[in-house]
Amino acid sequence: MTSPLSWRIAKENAQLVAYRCQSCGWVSFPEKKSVCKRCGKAPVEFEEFQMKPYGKIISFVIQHRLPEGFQTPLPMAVVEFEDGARVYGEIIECRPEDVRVGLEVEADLCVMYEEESGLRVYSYKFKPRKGGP
Amino acid sequence: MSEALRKKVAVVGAGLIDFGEHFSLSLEDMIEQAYLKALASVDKGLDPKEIEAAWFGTVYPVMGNSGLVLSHATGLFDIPVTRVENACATGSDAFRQACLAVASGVYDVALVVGAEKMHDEPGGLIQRADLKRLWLGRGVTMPAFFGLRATSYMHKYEVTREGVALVSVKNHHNGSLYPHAHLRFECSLEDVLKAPYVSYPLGLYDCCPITDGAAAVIVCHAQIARRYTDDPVYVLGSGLSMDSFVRGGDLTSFPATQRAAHQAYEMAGVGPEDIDVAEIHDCFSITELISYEDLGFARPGEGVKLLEECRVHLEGERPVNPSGGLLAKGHPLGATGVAQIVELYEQLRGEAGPVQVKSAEIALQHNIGIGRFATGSVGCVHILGR
Repeated sequence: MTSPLSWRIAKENAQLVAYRCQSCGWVSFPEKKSVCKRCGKAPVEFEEFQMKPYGKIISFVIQHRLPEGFQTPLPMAVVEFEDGARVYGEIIECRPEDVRVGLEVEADLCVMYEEESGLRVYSYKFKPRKGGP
Repeated sequence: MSEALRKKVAVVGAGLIDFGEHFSLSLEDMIEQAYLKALASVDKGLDPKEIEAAWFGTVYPVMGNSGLVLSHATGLFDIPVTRVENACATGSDAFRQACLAVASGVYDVALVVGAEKMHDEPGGLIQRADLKRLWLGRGVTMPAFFGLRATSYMHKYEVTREGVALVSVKNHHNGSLYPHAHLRFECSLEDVLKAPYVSYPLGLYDCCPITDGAAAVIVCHAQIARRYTDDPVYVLGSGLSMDSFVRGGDLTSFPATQRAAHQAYEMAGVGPEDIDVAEIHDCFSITELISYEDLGFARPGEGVKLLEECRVHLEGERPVNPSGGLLAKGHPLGATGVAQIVELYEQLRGEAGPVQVKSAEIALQHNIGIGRFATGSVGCVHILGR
């Protein structure tokens, strides 16, 4: 993972800025696009918008074998934001046995990791949503 | 257009090295051996000078293993050699490109080699620089990618880990019989369920091993096939498609497989009911289960039934992965698709020895790949016949 790769999507990742296809409504996150990955229209307008930090787990695993730098067991999920974007994310502040499909979660901004250069990459992890929607 | 490939291309030679941990062999050593086996397998012989073009499939590294590696390994320098990389479907795509070139009439005879050296990195492939932070720092691994499918599948269809594990039990049995398999031992249901978790819900025996390997096939235009053998195997259809989980849909199918299968069936003029034997991509147990459904062998959610009723076992009506599949034979990425073609070539010619299935006339090969930070998938399907 190179620093420019993180830098180019830093705003989107840190602030949950996403882009909605004006043709089919598909949400691109974190890339700013001019072609749509779902409907294939090209070129097509995308409207920038601020995603709400809420979503739900559509599937998960508990990672038991990972390289150095990760603590295990580590719950990791595919989360679908209420606003449509689908992402991978670590699940925090939740016991592994309590993670389940359908669990409502909220994105929590944190230092996701430090690159070898010492550069901190800020992004989201997910924790159970307090109080529910 | 869709019939442009049907029966235009024949496989006339095929060979692979024993899959396993080959610390004493380099990538080029493995390619050389697979190439020599493919040459030696041609019934009426084939002079290397007759090979007009070659395709080389390998996944790692991203840069460096060009077509030159195949040239240095085989001595084939005077012809076009193209390196192909399409995630874990690399070998299949290399085969596909050779078939398309031969069907087009540009070349009469072409070589395809798929190879991967998985054991030269001390930390394993996962420690390589491009995966170091595991895809944007989120802890996504291959077992996780497929474990996420398993969780979705089990949740949606109320399938247990036992149901999924039946794939591993079947394929390890087949692998215990297949001479070229990396893991040649039986694995009971209890073994699978009690093994340590790699990425829950997948345990150790739900995952394919880390394997070195190489495989090679020789294809030619159907019109000249009998110059090389009286028993050619024809390429009836080929399909390739791409997908990404960010496009939507649930995680219990691979749309890329569905589309590739549709393309291949249509081109071949056959349907899933016509397939006698199949080599299916089972990098993890769940992958085979989902693929039964994507390929049309079972209705959605009913894949486990095929296993419970032993219909996909060696003696069943449609054996799947008689070679032990990726779970037992091993999954040297770039070699995998080509090795599946080798295995089916032998099955269709009745040369598969201890894992020979009964009266196979039409065979299906299926290979998928995951890439682009584990968000995208590739599906590739070929149909072969007598």
